[in-house]
Formats: sequence, C-alpha cells, structure tokens
Amino acid sequence: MAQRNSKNKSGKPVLSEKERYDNDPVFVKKRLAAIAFFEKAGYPPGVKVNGTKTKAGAHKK
Amino acid sequence: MLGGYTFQYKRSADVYVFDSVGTKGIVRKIVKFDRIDSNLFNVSLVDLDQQTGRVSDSVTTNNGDADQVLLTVASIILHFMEKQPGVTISIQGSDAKRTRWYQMSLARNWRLIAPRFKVLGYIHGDWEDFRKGVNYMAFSVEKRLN
Repeated sequence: MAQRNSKNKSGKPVLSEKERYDNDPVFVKKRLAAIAFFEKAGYPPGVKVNGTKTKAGAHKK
Repeated sequence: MLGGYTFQYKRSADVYVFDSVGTKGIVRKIVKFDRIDSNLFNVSLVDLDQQTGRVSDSVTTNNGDADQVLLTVASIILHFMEKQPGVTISIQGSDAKRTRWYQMSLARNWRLIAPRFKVLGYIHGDWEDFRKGVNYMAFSVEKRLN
C-alpha cells in the first residue's frame, strides 16, 4: 500500500486509496453540490449544528 | 438488512462496494459518504469503470435491477448509521432524472423503507415527510429509533 508521503517517479505524491476517492472530481463535484444545496435550502430538521438540533429549514444562508 | 446485493466496506478507501448484476452484465458500484456538517452526510452512488479506475455519476446503467440497487444502498445506509449513530443522510440525484429515480424507487419499496427510516423530501423551499407521487428535489434519511 502507498505511504502517505511517498512520491512517484515524476515526484508527485502518491495518494492513498481514500485520498484518491476524496479528491476524485466526481466526488468533489457531488460534495460541493450538496454543500451549495444546503446553504440555499437549509438543513433538514434534526441535524445538529454546533451541538444543537435544527428545526425545519434552519441554518439557511 | 433490507435485501439487495451483498456489499463490502472497503476500510482503506472508506467506501462501500457492490456489483450490480443485470441485463448489461456486472457493473461495480461505489457508495461514498461525505460529511457536510457535524451529523449531516451526503451519500453518493457512482459506477466504477474497473478498466480505467474512473468513477462516473453520469452513466445511465439501465441494468434492469434498479430496485435491487436501491435496496442495497438502503442497506449500506443502515450499516453506516450503525457505525455512526444519530446521523442524517442526504440523498440528491446528480440531475432531476436521477432524483426522480430515487423517488420512484423509494415509493416502490416504501413497505421495506418506512419501518426503518424517517424520510423527508425537500420541495417548495421546505422539508416534509415523504409522500408518494411528489417530485422532490432532495431527500434526507434518519434511522428510526426502535
């Protein structure tokens, strides 16, 4: 398994499998789309923000 | 468990993997949870091209096993919720067509889903309890307390 700080022949860091998925453009796009959606729509009721459960539509920006 | 395909949690990648087996053959699926806020996670379902290693959320698989796939994702969500109690999972399709696919699959399998999950849908600027036949923009899912 690749070490976190190892590098390939071209000197680029070798990413772990988790890092590759976390940085994959498809997953990044989906994560950012979800964040943008919740900034607009607000969180569903029950989601904890700073330890406090939200009510419906709370945390809208 | 709710049925569906056997899945595997890949600890090294922190993703879930299963194979869709249908009319188009075997398609490797990956399910990934991304934290949006402290107890809010977004779930993504993508196809993995095993030759290139690339993932895609834009391929329409049409493998004839939509309900099996949905129930597998639901089982994976249950598994994730057992590891991380008290979380809320959001589900959004990558486009309106996929979101509608989730909605129709939820409705078809409601008998299995409803006892285990509290499902909300987002429509007209608000969250409401899931109702069949409504075109929601997104869904949120919590595990029901037994």
